[in-house]
Order: sequence, then C-alpha cells, then structure tokens
Amino acid sequence: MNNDLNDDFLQHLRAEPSRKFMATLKANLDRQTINQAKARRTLFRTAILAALIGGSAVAVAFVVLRGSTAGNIPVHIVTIGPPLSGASKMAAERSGGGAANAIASPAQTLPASVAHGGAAQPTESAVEQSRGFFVVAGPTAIILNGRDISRRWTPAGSKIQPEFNLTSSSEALAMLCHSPRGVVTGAGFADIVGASRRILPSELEACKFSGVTHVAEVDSGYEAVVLVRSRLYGAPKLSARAIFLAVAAEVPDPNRPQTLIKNPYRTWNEVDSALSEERIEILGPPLSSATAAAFRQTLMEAGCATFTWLAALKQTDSKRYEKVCRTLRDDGVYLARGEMVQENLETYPNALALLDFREAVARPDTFAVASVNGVEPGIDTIIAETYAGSRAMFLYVNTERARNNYAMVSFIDSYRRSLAYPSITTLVAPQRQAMSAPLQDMRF
Amino acid sequence: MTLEHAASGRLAEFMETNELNWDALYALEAPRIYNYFRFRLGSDSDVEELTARTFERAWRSRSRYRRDLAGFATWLFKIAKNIGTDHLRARHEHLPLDAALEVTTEGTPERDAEQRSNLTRLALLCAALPERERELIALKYGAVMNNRVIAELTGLSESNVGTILHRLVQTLRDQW
Repeated sequence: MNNDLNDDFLQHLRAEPSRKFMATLKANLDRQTINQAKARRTLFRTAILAALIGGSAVAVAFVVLRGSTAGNIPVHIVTIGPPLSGASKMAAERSGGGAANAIASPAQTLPASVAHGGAAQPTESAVEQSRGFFVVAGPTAIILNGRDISRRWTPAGSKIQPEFNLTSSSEALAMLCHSPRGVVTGAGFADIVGASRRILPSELEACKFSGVTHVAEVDSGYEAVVLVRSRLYGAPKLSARAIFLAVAAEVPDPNRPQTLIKNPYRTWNEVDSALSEERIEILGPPLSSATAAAFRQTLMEAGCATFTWLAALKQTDSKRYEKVCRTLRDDGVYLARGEMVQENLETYPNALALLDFREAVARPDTFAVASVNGVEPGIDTIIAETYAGSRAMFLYVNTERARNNYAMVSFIDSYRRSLAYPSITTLVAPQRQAMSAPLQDMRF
Repeated sequence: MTLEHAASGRLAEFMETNELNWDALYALEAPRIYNYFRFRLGSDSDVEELTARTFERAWRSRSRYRRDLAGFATWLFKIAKNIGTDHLRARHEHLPLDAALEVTTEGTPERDAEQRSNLTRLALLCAALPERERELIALKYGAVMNNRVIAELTGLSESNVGTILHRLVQTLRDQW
C-alpha cells in the first residue's frame, strides 16, 4: 500500500512535451492550414469558372430555343381515352402478386397526352378559379416533395395553387373519397393524396359510395432511410428489433411479458448481446422531417412488429400501436442534430446517424451504412422490399377533378418528372420509364 | 488554484473572444492531450505520434468547428479518445497484473526515471481495470479535466464520475 497515492501524486506523473515536439507539430499544423486555404481557393475558382461556362451555355440555349421552337413546349394533359395495356405494370410488380387483391386493375385510361394548344387542353374553370386551389394530402415525404415541386413548377399565370395537408396515409386516402361527386367545397377532402401503401379495395368501395369513381394510381418511387457510422469505424450490423429497443420511448419489460416500461437501455449490448458495449447514440434530422418520419414507420415499426403482441395491436388498437411503435425516446439518445454529421461521427465512434438513403450512398467514402436483419440497403433490396428501412410510395389522383384543372395536371406531371432528378426528390425512383406512363383510372 | 481550474479558466478566457485563438488553444491543449495519451498508454512511446494525429485531425475540421456544438476541449478529447482506442485495439498490448510487481519503484535517483517508473506501474495496475475506469484515470490525471467535462465526455453523471474516481484511487492505493 502507498498512502501517498492521492490526486497530487497522480498529477505529478504528468510531464511536459518537449519543446522540439511542440514546435514541430505547430509548424506542421500551420502548413496544413495554408494547404487547406489553397485548396479552398482552388475550389472556389473552379466553381466560379464552372458557373460562368454553365451560364453561357444556358444563355445560348435559351436564344436558340426562342428562335426555333417557341410554342412547341409539350404540355401534359389528362383526357379520357381508350385503355392502354401495361400502364400500371410497375405498380403491379411492386405488389409481387401478394397484394393483387388489394388494388384495382386499370379500367379506363387517362393518358397524359401531349397537346400543342389543342382544344382538349383543360382550363381553369370558373369553379376552380373561385376555389383557387387544389388539395394535396399525405405523409411527410409526399408533402415536402410536393411543396418543393410546387415552388419550382407552378404554371406561369396560374391562380390555382395546391394546398397541402400533412396527414397519415389512411387519413389521406379517406380524404380522397370524402367529397361527394361534383361538390368541390368543404374541409376534409383531397384531390391528390400520397400514401405509403396501396389503396385497399374497401377504400375504393368507399370512394365509389361517395361518388368518386375516377381515381388513378401514380407510382412515386420508394422512400428509404439508413443508419450509418463513420467509415473510420466500419458498418454496423443491426436487427430491426435491436433498433426498436434502442430508440423507442417504451419497450417491453423483459421480466413481465406484455408490459411496457420506459426504455432503460443505454448500450447496444443491452438490446442485443451480439453487439458491443457502446453507448446508444443516434444523430438525426428533426422529428418533423420526412427522414425521421420514415425511420419511425419503417425501421422502428419493423422492430416493434417482432413482438407478436405489439404487432397484434395494429388490428386491435391502432392508436396504441402507433404510439408504442413510432414514438422515439426523448432522453437524449436520439439527438436531433442534422448538421456536421460527418464530424460528429468521426468524433464519436459509437454514434450512428440517421440519413436519407440517397444522402448516404452519395458519400461512400464518408459513411458506412448499417445492414438491417442481414440485408444491406441498396437499389435492389429497396425495390425487392427486403430492406426493412424502405417503403413504396403512391400517389392517388381524382382524375375527374384533374380533367378540368390544368394546374392540377401540371402538378402531377411535374411530380412524376421530378422523380427522375435525385437532386430534387427525396424518393428513390429506379424505374424512370414507368414514371412517364399514361395515367390510368383504377377499376372499381 | 489547481491545475484543472487553471486550465479551464484559461480555456474560458480564450473562448470568450469572438475569434478563436487557435495558437493559444494549441499551447493550452497540446500538453493535456499529450499527457492523456501518456496515461492511457502508460509510457512515452507513441505518445507524440498520437498527439500529432489528434491535432492534425482537429485542424482539418476546425473551419467547421462550431462552439455551440460542443466545448472545444470536449470536441478535441473525443477525437483523442477515438485515436487512442484505435491505437490500443491495433496494439493489443496487455500485460498481466502480476507484471506490475516486477516494476521497480526504488533505486532510480533521477526524478524522470522515477516518474516513468511510477507511470508504468500505474499503467500496469490500470490494465486490470475496465476500459471505462482506465479512461477516467487518463482524463482526470493526465488531461487534468474536471468532473463536469469528464461527465460530458463519458456520458456518466458528474457525481458518478466523482464516486468512481474516489473508489479507483483507493483501489490503486491498496495495490501499489
């Protein structure tokens, strides 16, 4: 025993680094700073040069187009036409046959045909003008993308603006069928709705009962989220169950089945003994973001559903199911911190970040993406719907209303075209050709 | 004034200015990082290399450093901790506890030699401790951090840090 071993003794074991070392390191750091500044200046010059070249190209193209093709810019409109085969092939493929009964088959085609100022072009009728908007309802991803598209592509001179209503898929689909035929006023209805699942036969029946008999299904790609770690520390292998137990506000009590307790887990090995003893810490965007919403409804919910009695709540007590399966803990384990993700992950080896799929795969040198239940997120696994962190998105359109509302048609057209531009949409849309297929009414 | 008070006082002074004085921060933090690694590794070898690596990584990101993200020391020590962890994982160096008894604590007239001997002995005793406890020792006595900053870095409560450290020093004293 050494009775002198105390704070002072331990602190006196410290030693000053040599002056030579301090000076050499400082010189290296100064050199590094100068090199970084040079690199930034080079990058800035390159960006300016690129902007100048790009601007010149746009200007030249504009002059050429004005001189040669004025009036020939295609306008997509919806008109009633003969049935076209295979227009909803992508939608059918997504269901994998298993959901075939859950959707209606195309019965009446509404081709997004190209008109050149012809008589068939819809106009803003007096009724539409007086209403001044059309309603788009749905979950976060649809609404955020819709708002963005509306800002970018609102037809010049149009007085009709979309009004957005953020709501769940089920409520949005109910709103689609709420309005009796011909009635265009009143709350609780929508002209276009987004959903993270396909419309059910019972919902189509409800539409028919309300007089909404012209509904088209539009593929809206896939929403996918991932958990990542810094590339420095390698890709984690997680299960959906472990993710749920790590982040849910309430979790099943291991000692009392079918009882929920406040989440007590602090380290990953507590939720899955195969994982390491590292503090659970997840950085992510604000809870109101599309990515966080998708996380709650895909990865979290998939993990929640591994508990049979919780999965059963979906049928017996859907509100409780959503509360349990989609509520994130608020004790600091999930940090709403969307900035400086790379730096945070490099600094905190245990930390994971929640990202949109496209954001993560765009930076493979920075992020190592977690596999979930042994499946790595990728275009193939997202399309196959084997990756638990993704889901297909659909848009449903009241085509009868669209016939007389060119702003609405323009919005739908812009929405579909936007899926081809990853920089605009947050959705993954691997089958571009399907996005330009004509709209088809569903069979009731 | 204790070492840790002096360090945190000077740091606060630097942080109050609108522009961070990186030269001053370097002069203040480099010895702390250096000693943090000495305590983590229990020797002087590789310490300079790891200290340099920590600052080079921090300097690469410093244009993006925001003081509302984390305290500067917290940020820097997170980087140091990662680098230290990687190094130790790669080294897989582990001596049995009995080896601590073979390290002499007598017959070294030079203070430096005695200090090195004591540090090595401490490291060998610490090798038997869990990772978290080793980290706490290095942060407290190597980096002279106060319990509040240690709590931020480790995720423990401040009172818990104090309790664990008190118990650790007693354990080390018994085994010395």
